[in-house]
Amino acid sequence: MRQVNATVTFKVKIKQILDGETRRNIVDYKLKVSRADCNLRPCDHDYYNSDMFPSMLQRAYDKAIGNRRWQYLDTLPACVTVERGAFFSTVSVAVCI
Amino acid sequence: MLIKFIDGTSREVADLHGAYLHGAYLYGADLHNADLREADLRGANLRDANLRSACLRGANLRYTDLRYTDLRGADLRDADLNGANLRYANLSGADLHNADLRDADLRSVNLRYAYLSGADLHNADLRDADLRSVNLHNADLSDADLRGAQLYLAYLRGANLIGADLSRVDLRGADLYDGCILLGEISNKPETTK
Repeated sequence: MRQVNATVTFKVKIKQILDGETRRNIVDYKLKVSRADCNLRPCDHDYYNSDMFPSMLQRAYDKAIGNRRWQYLDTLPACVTVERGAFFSTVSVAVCI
Repeated sequence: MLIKFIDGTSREVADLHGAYLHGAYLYGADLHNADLREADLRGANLRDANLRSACLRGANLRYTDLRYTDLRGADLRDADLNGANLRYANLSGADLHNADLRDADLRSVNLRYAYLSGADLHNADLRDADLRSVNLHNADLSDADLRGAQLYLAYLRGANLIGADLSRVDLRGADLYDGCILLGEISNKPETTK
C-alpha cells in the first residue's frame, strides 16, 4: 500500500488560558476526524472507500498531533499550521496515511 | 430504505453514505432517516424534500436548494452549507454543530431548539428567522443580517456578532455572556413572541 500525504483541515475558535499569570493562546484540536475533513479524493488512496479508512485517518491524525487534546499556539508541532482569522482560525494538520 | 418521489414513483435505497449526488434533482423526495453522511450534494435540488431525522454529517451541501425542506432533528454536524438556500426550511431541533453556513439564505427559517455551537454564519441572511431557544455558543454571526429574527432565550455565549444587523431582533432572555456585539446594531423595538 502506498503512503499518501494528506491535510486535515478544520476551523476552531482560539481560546486563552491562564498559564501562571500570563494569558496564552491555545488551539483546541478536533478530536474526531472524518473523510470530510481531509483533502483526499477516492482516487487518491487505495482504502478511501473502505470502512477502514476513517480509523486509518484518525490514527494518522492522532499521531500527528501527539495524542493531545489541545496545544499552546506558540509550541505547535511542525505538521500543524494555524491560519488566524477574524473569529475562527483554520487549523491544518499534515498527515501521512 | 424506500425513497418516494412527488410523482408517486418510489425506489429502494439501502445506504447513501458518501454518495455522489452533485446537482441531483431530488425535488420533494422522501429521504427521512436517510443516511447521507459525507454525501456530495453540491448544487442539488432538494426543495420540499423530507429529510426529517436524516444523517447529513459532513455532507457537502454547497449551493443546494433546500427551500421548504423538512430537516427537523437532522444531523448536520460539520456539514458544508456554504451559500445554500434554506428559505422557509424547518430545522427545529437539528444539530448543526460546526456547520459552515457562510452566505447561506436562511430567511424565515425555523431553527427552534437547533444546536449551532461553533457554526460559521458569517454574512448569512437570517431575516425573520425563528431562533428561539437556539444554541449559538461560539458561533460566528459577523456581518449576518438578523433583522426581525427571534432570538428569545437564545444561548449566545462567546458568539461573534460584530457587524451583524440586529434591528427589530427579539433578544429577551438571551444569554450573551462573553459575546461580541461591537459595531452591531440593536434597535429598541423587539417583535413580540407568539
